[in-house]
Amino acid sequence: MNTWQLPEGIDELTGNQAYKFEVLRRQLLDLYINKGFELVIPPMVENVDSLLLTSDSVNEKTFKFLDPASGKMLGVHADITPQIARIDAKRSSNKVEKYCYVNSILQTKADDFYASRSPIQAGAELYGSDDINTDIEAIELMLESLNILSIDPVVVSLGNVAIFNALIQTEDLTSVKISQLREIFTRRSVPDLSVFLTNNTLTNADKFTKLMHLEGNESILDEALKVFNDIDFAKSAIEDLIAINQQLKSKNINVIYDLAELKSYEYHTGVVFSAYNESYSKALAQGGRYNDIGKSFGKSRAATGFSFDLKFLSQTK
Amino acid sequence: MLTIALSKGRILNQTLPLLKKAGLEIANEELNSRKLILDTNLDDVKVIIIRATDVPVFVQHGAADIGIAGKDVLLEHGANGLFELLDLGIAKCKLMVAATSDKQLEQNILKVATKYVNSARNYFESKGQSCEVIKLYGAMELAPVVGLSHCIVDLVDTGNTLKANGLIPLDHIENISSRLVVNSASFKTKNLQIKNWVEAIEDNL
Repeated sequence: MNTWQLPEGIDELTGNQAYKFEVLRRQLLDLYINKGFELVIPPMVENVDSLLLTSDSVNEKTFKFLDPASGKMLGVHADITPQIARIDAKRSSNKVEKYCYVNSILQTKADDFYASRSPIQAGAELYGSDDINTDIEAIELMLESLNILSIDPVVVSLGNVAIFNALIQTEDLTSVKISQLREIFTRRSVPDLSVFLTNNTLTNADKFTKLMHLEGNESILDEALKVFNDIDFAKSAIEDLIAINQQLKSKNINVIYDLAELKSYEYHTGVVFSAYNESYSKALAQGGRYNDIGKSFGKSRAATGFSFDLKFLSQTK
Repeated sequence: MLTIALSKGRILNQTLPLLKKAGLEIANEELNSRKLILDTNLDDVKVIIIRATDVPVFVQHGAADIGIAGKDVLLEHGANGLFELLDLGIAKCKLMVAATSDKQLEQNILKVATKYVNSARNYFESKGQSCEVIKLYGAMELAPVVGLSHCIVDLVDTGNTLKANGLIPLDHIENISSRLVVNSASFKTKNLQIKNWVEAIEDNL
């Protein structure tokens, strides 16, 4: 082994690359701080229980080791969001709190979103408001961030995982079946969904099929309202999207609605969004609502936010 | 511009008529040339013809927007970053476990010879059966006969090759056919264009 070789998925920035990264980091933080976001630098290592919350996918991505001093399992942060949830819960604030960060994270395996195992995650989060204006604020800030990174034009994909979650609630399914179905939706496999629906008797089978095809321009929102008219939680989730659509329309943002979109982290509970550009084969930034995330710290607060890999985006043209 | 990745060989022969019905044609001169990126009758659509196992890789990384590949290949790849929008119903077969007898499967650690390492591992894991997977690139049927493995996991069409080598098909893992897959980012940025193609192909199945 060459001693100067880095492990797989671990990379570094030098010279101009490092300088470019630093300039952009500064510009982004100035943007966030000017908008009233508080900069936080969470620790690299925490007790595993605080880092994972209930997310299996964060668990799989977290490096863990035994702390000889305390005998406890520690983990290296693989995602900043659970740490912000802890910071917010500790404050016991009832006001809206806004946080921003740019931090190196470490993941056991690279995923679609973070191509490397050592991305530098930048992001912003808003706690304490369930209002759709908070979602819009997060989406707009994400777009402003991409603008600083000179990524243009951007297509925003908007969905709401509450629709799928509400639909699942209408069925009597085991947790194994639910994760199968979730996985089929994540892969957007139309053939596998039809096999699943043939092998399992679901009361709302047709709604699952329709949900998988509910994507396109704003016209699909009205269609969705008709399909989910009798499921209250799904209906209000769609109404949230309609309200957001009204506001985004006036701002000339290119939006595609994708109601079958499920995020890779299970902690999302509501409106989810991601940004795309034709030159890239994956989402460049993504985020969404995760209202229950503080629950494991004893305080459930409404929350939304977004993140992206600044190291990756700072190096691409 | 839209790029479509097609699998070489048997799947290609069955795919081209489907594309033709949907309005996409590739001239014979193009098909017979040594070019790797082929022109079509449409200016904004290009086709690349590659090994079946490479199709999901090209689509996942956005080198192609749309791909046509067997479900066996997609299962093995994991289909990360891909949307699987259509079952084309061509190149049908089954992914199966086969052995000289069902007694062979009763092992503490089952030795499995296969090209489909991930699919085999996932299948036996879901059954709670410990296994040791031996990766082979061909002539799977030989492995149990010469004592290399207890069983094989392979595609079964007519079952004649199994029979000729004294093997019997046992567990049915998955129905296989060719699927149309799309890069999940292209699906957002070129939504209308991709949807039009998917619908045109689906309408003519």
